[in-house]
Amino acid sequence: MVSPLEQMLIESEARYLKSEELEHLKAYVLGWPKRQHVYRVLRERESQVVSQTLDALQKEMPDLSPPVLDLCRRHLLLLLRHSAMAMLLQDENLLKERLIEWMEEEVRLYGLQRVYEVAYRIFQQELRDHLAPGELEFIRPLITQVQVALLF
Amino acid sequence: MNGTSSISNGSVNFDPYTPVLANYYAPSAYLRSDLESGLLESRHGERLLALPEALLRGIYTGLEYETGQAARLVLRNCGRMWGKEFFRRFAQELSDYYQKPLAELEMGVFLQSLRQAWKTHGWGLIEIDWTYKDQGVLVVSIRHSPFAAVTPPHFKRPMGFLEAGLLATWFSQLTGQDLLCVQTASEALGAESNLFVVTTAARLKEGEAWVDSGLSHEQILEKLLQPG
Repeated sequence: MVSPLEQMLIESEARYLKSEELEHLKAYVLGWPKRQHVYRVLRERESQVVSQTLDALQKEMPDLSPPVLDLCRRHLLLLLRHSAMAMLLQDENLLKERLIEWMEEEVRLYGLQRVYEVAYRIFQQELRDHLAPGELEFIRPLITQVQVALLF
Repeated sequence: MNGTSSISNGSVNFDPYTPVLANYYAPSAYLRSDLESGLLESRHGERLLALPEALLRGIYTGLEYETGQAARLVLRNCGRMWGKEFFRRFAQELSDYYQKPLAELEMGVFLQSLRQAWKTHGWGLIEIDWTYKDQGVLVVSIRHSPFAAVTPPHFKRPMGFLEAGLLATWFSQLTGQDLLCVQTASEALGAESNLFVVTTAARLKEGEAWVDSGLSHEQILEKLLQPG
């Protein structure tokens, strides 16, 4: 699977880019500073967002075993990191290939559906608390996309 | 716990530059090509080879032409060698990546890695059915198998001896037992997926004869699960 940008390069083999392709490239470059800003914010706050999500999850579901909590922690880190990268590079395929395929199987295998319905609700709230609205809108669609793939 | 090089069980490490281990076999990370040398390799640095359909077809027809019925045996033995090598590589790659021996990997990670490895190598979608594990029988299903797809149409029985050999050795290495594998259903013959049964060599010695006599997957499974 290649990113949309790579796909454009493949399709434009040995010819000039068409106007709409150039526009696409321009939008990608112009959007870069903002995306990079959000990426950095996520990198800085990852630790807080994830540990606070886990704390709240544990309060709401006190019976969760340490291995489940640990799996949950790893999944939240993966979710945040892959979503951040997919956002930065504007490449949603990354999510499917590197994250969703892996997570959905573990969620099924360990029967985590119910836990994750709660975890995602808390996680989305934590993101709202830690990001400005203008930052949140960059990452939220990707998080939601994974949530939908895993829970519905 | 090796909390320094990876975020894994039990470590409270939130360092943003430490990777969280997950899908080792993600295609974009696993497959590497070198333009300079014209070679493909895995992220572990081992050579990979793209196997064209034409070559696979040639192997089937060439072997049949040269060796007749013995083609099955040759394919199965090739599969066994392949299985041995593949297991070695799989174990090496995963234990290097997760920094622990294969036997200590969580079952979930192990199974997922196997499925992903299969997929990324282009061998189709593999599922292991553990329903009969207490009776010592595993059922393996592979969908979209490239080996079934190029089976010459005149064969009226499952011909996945290469995969059967591979699976037999693979599970033998994994369990330390002498296991055999027989293909009981094939996509090439219209089945929804390729089905393989894996169990001890002693119990499956009639396996190929059962397939030859036209028994279905269910019938063969029933025979294997009969007590005594």
